[in-house]
Amino acid sequence: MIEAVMPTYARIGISFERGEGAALFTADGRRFLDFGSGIAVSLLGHSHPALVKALTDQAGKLWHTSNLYEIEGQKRLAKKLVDNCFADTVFFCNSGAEAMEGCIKTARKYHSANGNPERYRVITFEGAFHGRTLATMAAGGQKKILDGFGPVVDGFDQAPFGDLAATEKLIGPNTAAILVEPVQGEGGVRVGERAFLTGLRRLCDKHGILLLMDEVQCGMGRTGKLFAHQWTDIAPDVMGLAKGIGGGFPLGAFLATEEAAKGMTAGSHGTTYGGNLLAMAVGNAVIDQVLAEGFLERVNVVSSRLKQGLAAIADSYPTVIKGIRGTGLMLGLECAMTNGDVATALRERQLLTVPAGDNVVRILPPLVVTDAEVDESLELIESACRDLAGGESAS
Amino acid sequence: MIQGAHFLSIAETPEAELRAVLEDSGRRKAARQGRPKAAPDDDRPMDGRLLVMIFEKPSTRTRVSFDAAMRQLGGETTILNAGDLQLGRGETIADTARVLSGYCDAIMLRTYAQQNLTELAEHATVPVINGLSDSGHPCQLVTDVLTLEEYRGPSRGQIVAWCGDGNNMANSWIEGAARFGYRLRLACPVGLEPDPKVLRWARDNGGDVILTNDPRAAVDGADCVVTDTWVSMGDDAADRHNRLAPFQVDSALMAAARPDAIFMHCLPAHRGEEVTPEVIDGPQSVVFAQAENRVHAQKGILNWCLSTTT
Repeated sequence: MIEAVMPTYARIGISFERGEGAALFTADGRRFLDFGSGIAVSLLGHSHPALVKALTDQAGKLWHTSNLYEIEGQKRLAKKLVDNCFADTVFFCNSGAEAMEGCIKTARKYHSANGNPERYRVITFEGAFHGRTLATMAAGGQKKILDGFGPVVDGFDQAPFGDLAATEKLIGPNTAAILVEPVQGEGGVRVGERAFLTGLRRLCDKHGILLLMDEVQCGMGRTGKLFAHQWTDIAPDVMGLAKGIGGGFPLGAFLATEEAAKGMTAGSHGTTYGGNLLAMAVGNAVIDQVLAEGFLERVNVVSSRLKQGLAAIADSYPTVIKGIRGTGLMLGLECAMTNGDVATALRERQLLTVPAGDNVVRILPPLVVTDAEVDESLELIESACRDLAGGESAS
Repeated sequence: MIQGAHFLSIAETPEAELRAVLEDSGRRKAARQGRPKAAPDDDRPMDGRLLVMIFEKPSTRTRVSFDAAMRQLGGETTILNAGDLQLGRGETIADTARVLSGYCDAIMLRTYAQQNLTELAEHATVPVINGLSDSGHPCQLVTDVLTLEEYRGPSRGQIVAWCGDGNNMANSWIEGAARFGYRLRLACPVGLEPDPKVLRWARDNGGDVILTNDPRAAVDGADCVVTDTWVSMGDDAADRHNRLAPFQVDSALMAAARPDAIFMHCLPAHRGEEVTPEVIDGPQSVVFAQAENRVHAQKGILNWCLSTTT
């Protein structure tokens, strides 16, 4: 008999009662280090006082009005976002998939507004993950996700990640945009090389198409800059955000330049819940923390400490970890054995991580992780590697 | 008891001291623009002092740059070949150290084994300088950081990509990451990675050092791309070329670095092997400015080593 909760997840048999910073606690008092952050969502850890206050204060006043009316919190958060990136305008929604749908719709509408409705196709990359709606599944192009859901939404062409020449070959008269994650998360924490990302910008400019970026996972300070593409000298035309932007409260957004958003006029797009008062209260509290002086500098320092420690472990246990990928606090262990086994060994030591494609284990601690917690995690990882390697160290 | 300080490795030299060496090197370089190469600096700090240089391995840059450096500082040099000296064979290193300490004010040794340097330093009463050993090339590293900072500004936070063999030069770059604060990305072939102990030391001392087997990943966004000859003096050439071929620094690899990235090589270079002519002779290459900086860096090192002598 089917469970009351639809069994679409292979859940791990642990539930948590409360959280504090980077730690989660079970009802029986066991403490886990949460280096998965609910898949890169709990940006400021659990029960952050500023977020709790923002949400509870707002909850006592007003939850929802719909977007039929003005929502001051949207204006404030949008202003903070556009003041700190390439974009001129923001649309708030509820999730990453919805944000990415918005990006794709914006690109199609842009060309339509320019008199070229035939330009609707979007080039995406192998290993990508853009969400689970029909269009974003098609954009991700992964067979295991598409299988059994009927005809694949038309309009997506896929190139190997990092291959500029193959990308350019796919550009045709119907191409509207290129969509890329600056750092692929689900695909295995693969960092898009600077030359690749700048090359994509060049291709878009050359062919009059838009560059869309999916920063749902890598955005909001996760890599040590507010947005991952800010490590390069280029910017997209449209960008999708979610996960960290709400710090655990469901919130997504897509941002665009004024030019790219020219087709997104009144009535062209909408949402019932997106950007409601509760979400905006939390979103504003999150970004205020991330933009606070010294916050991102601290992310860079602590991430270096973590990455160096992981690299040292990889050097010592090459039969368990082949190498370290990623940037900032979006890191990946390239496993020499099955990544599920590595993640399980870590969980048995009460360290939570997230498996990813390409046989990688994602390490995604909250951005407020302390040095002591980093050191503790490294001890746990080293202990797991030692056991998995049969006690042998290479050094 | 030694008068002055040994310069045996980057790891053994404190950060503040290395910074002082760099500052002195840069200041002296700026102060003598346009002078004939053998003309002394105004203050002649090495006036009356003698540097003995011992070479177990042949050398162009180390030999001439130390010679020029000592002359510019007002001192003199004597050059010995290890074969003449019977270093470590006919006469013990300890005895050599004691004897030479009576003749000169500093000893520079270019040797195969770091152990020779350690032993020489242990018994010498004058400063001993590592002019290259199997485990490091600290004088070259000081030069390289001097050059990096000339072209790209303060080294802290910059990304340096090392492509190729995890050799003695790589070791010094690794140690330098902990001392100078640049972020080092090493791409080395499987089996030619640097010594894990050196990596561990650097990381334990705050160095941001990542080792990979993928040169593109290492070079991505780098401020500086560095490589070295595939077959160093004394190395066995067998199969190294095949293993190192994917690590060649060519235009495509340089394109993955920052557009204003510089290319460095400590020379001698083999065009078409570790680096293509387009790169080493191209606009991003600073190898000859880097080579010239050997003189300026040696001056900083000599001054630092001998600054406490009376």
